[in-house]
Amino acid sequence: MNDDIKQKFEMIYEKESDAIFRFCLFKISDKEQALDITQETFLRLWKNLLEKNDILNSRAFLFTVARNLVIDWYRKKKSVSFEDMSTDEEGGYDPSDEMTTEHLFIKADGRYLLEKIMQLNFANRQPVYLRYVEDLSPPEIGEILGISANAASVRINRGIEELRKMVGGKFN
Amino acid sequence: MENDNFKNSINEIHEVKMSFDEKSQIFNNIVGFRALAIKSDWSFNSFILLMQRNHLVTYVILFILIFVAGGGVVFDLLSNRNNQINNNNVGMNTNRASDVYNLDNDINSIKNNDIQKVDDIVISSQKIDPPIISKNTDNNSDSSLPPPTGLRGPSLGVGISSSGGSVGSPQGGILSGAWIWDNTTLNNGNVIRPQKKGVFVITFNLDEKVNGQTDCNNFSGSYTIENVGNLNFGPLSMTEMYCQGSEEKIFTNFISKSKSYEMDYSCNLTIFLVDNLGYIYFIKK
Repeated sequence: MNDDIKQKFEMIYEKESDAIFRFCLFKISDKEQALDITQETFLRLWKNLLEKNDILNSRAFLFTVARNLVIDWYRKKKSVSFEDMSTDEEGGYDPSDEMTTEHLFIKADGRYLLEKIMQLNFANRQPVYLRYVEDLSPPEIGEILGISANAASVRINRGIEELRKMVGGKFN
Repeated sequence: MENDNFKNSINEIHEVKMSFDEKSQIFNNIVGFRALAIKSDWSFNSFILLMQRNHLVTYVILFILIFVAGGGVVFDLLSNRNNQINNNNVGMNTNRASDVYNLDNDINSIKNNDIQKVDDIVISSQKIDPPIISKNTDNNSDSSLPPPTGLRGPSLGVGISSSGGSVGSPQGGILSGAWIWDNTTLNNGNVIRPQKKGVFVITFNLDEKVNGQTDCNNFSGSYTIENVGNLNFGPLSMTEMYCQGSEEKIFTNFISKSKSYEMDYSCNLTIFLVDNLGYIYFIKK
């Protein structure tokens, strides 16, 4: 029985581990911390599988856990004041939405695109990243961010329009 | 927004990956993780809460506790009773051991003096075949011998009694019935067994009459039981048919030397001979 769980976990890990690591790395710009959070994320998936908990969408589960762990990591760092954390229009400021490309070894076009995504409006930033970089569906994005699928779609469209204006004709 | 440049840029972003070692290490760390035991919701606290919410559960638990505790008392009483019985048996075994020891001493003391007397009693006819006489070297291992307790040990109140009484009384009724001669054990250690087993029978009746049969003839007469289990036979009349090799003379000689009787735990009869010569052992027919 454990072999089946291990096989299932291995398949998910092989498919999603790089995306989770990337997601963490872009948010905290610390490779070691990103590796730790990635490990913790998949450890929680492993525990859930062992406890026979049903996970309908493992991708959404992993990104949700990773996002929450990043938020916890930021809170522990206390790099953001409590007042700043309560300025967001939909549930407060999320420090994990901050992204950086510092110390990342990405080729020019990729770095350029990633920087532009990170310059998007705060509310649209993460939906665009998850939709176009990690290829998540709007319902999955809504589940991860704790919003509806429709709201996620709206943010994605707003974000992509904003991105078009930012990059001009480079990606047209 | 989804032209080749955009896709290439996305692919370049996707090149940000963990190294193979990092990936393998994390995987091994996770899969090697041993899941902690899941704490059961059915803990002691929830059990107490259940008892508080449902009084029926409380009553059931109390009933079970009382039942178990009561059962323990009963078992304790039974255990004490068994211990008492065991202690009695130990005491009797001690008496048995001392009796056997005394008996051995008696046998040794009379061995040289009384053996000739016994031989005179037994071998009274030159025509009969010698009875089966074996040296009784191990009284305890011979199952045909009466249990040592029945020899001189304390009597139990379950019909095994050497106390006297008239015929017709409960004590006299103990003897009533037919008994088969199994063997005669002499104090010199010899055990005499009939060659034809089961044919030597003596029957005690409640009206002080006794009759019986040997391997050749029948006999009848009277008997009396006096105090302290003394057994006396009156004159016995006997048919006079002649049988080659009969052992009846031996048997009747033993009967005529009867002094007292006793019954063992198996309700078999032991008749002791006069002058401490030995005893005759009968099995209930």
